[in-house]
Amino acid sequence: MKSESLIVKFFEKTLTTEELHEFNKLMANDSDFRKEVEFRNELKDVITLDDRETIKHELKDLESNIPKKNIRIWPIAASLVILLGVSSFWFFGNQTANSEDLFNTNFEPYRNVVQPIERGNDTTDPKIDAFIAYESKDYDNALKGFNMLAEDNDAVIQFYKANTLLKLGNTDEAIRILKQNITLTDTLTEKHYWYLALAYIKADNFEEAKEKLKYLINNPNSEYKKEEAKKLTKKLK
Amino acid sequence: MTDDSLIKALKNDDRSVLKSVYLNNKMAFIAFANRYELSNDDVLDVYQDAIIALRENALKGHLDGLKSELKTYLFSIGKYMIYNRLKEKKKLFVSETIEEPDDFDELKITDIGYDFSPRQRQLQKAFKQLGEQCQNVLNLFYFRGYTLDDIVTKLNYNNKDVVKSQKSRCLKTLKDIIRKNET
Repeated sequence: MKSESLIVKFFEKTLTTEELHEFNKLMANDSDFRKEVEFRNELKDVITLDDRETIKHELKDLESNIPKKNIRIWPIAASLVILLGVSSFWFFGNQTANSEDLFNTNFEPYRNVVQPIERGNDTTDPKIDAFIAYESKDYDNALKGFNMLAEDNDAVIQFYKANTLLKLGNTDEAIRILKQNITLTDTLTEKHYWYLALAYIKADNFEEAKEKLKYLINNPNSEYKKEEAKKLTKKLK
Repeated sequence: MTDDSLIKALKNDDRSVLKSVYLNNKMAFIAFANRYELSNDDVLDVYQDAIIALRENALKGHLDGLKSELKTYLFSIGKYMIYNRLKEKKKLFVSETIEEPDDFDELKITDIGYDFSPRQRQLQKAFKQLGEQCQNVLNLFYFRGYTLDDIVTKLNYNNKDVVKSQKSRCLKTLKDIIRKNET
């Protein structure tokens, strides 16, 4: 019993100097005692590892649940992508590269594919308000709305906020958001690359712009803006 | 929530607070980690490990009376782990030279490892076969560093002797399970 209380105190870190001396003596001379301490040390390690493993799983689960809520918008997004692709296709002729021109001709704020809006209804939902402003090209109010929603840290909202910022000419902030957002939305990843490329063009950073376009060109999983990216890349030389 | 109340909640192992700390700092951390040459998967992995280390330190009371902001502390852990990850990969920094920060000693962290030896896996398996009460008592004592007196208060036991014998019974059961699993 004495030795048990020594072991307990050892793990509690409450051994007195005298007790520590006794503890060490037993560790050196009593193999049963030593085995018991070793077993409990091992248990301590295992409980720690087990706890980490549990939390890691919880965080991974949390992470994998984040993009899920965006998946339902994908079919709509896909069909709109085609429309958008067609609508901006006409531009590519043989103009000389001028960042402002290239940006203005290519940039169109990404359509609202997130928030269905019923006209004529009064609403108190800040998200709907923000998207109504966005769709109405009232970008100042859209930005205010998205800022209010920003606390949610929703990557999709952030994406629309970046579009709004681009439209309002706050290119640096838009780049910052798109850059940090790029990994967060499975469904909008390609769009992030496209808008980030355009933002870099606006900022006269053609090298970064080409990098982003390269991703779209080489992406085996998506045709999004592939042709446009190829043509735009040529303009940036 | 203030940092103090966050730390208190983390210390009480409030998982919902842990998750909100995770979500609230994630974007900023990813932006911060962007300057290093790490893949997105690595950055996320490191961020999760930093959160786990933060939690462990909070549980053990290392964050009581923390002088810096919680976010700053989290990012210091993250930076330390990024540094180690880069060393593992033997990569150089792309855009700027980063000196190894000298404040790592204060972080009280070791690297977060997840590798179980086969023997540890066996022990883990047996541990998970214990009843919830036993897992709880052993977790508090061996992982979270509670004293027997702390456990009396935390789990509303009558006195220290009850905890003591409960803990001994749990260890005995654990050994029995290990033996049974081996045969």
